[in-house]
Amino acid sequence: MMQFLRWLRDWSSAGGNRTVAGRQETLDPREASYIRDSNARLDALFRLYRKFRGTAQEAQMKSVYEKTKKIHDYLIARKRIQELELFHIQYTQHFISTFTLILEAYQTRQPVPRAAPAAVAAARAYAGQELPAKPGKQLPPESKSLNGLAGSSPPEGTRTQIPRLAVAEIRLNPQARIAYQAETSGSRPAFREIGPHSPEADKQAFLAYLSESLGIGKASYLGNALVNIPDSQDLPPTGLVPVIRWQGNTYALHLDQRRLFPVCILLA
Amino acid sequence: MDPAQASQEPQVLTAEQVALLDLYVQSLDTYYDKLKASEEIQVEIETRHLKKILSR
Repeated sequence: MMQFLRWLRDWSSAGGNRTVAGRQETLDPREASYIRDSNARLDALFRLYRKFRGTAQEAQMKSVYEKTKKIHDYLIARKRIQELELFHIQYTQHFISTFTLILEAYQTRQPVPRAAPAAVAAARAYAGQELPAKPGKQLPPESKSLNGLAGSSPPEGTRTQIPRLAVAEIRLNPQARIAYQAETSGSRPAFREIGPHSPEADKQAFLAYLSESLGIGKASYLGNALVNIPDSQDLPPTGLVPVIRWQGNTYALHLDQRRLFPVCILLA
Repeated sequence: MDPAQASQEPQVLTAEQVALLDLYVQSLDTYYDKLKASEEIQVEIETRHLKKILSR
């Protein structure tokens, strides 16, 4: 009888991914670290649930935690550790990132003194975007990763205006010419004009002026455009500005303030 | 974030985010059901293999 069962087992193990029953706990350190990471994620889910205590979503956050734990227990019992890690990368990680961001954004909207990055975090949360999945080994502590994202956004008032980053679309004006003041060494400042139909020498002079005043090296002049630059102190906001191509990107220049604005040119 | 404050101000989550939360819970359920189903399929595969062996 036993010999027959052994013969059966040998037959079955000749096939694909059969496993012998009663194997040891973890086959290699990778599986052990997956299990550790999974437990860490469960902790993060639990802490997230506690933060939602008292809100209408408390029960849902609790059920997220419990269901994730159920899946965790199930897969570990069946030694399907790779699937557990895959599950976390596809589901849990995104969930933790998204709702941590939402929570932080909510807390910075309140008049509670909190050193938290406001603009980028909130914008990401409301756009419903998810951070790219980080590899299973690294679980970023929740606030630290957000600080990296936001960088140096200045803290604002209670009602935070979320700046909407966008590349402005402009049209080049084929006739307009802009007058600018070129400081020539020694002599008086000369007024020059630059436009799309200016002679090549004038364009070169303009680019030389740029490299002196703004430190922009190899650029190419594209034309002028009528734009509206908000909060420009000296000039009225709407005016003609030169547009250049530099380092592979297109910019509109505010010459006096020495500012570049990324734009994209509509060809229609 | 006590219950009194929650009822006075807008909720922590927007309507869209609440819906997102619901969807996530649903997707967890679906995932778990798929896991159970995959186990049943595995049992079925093994059973058929065993039957094939025995019927030779």
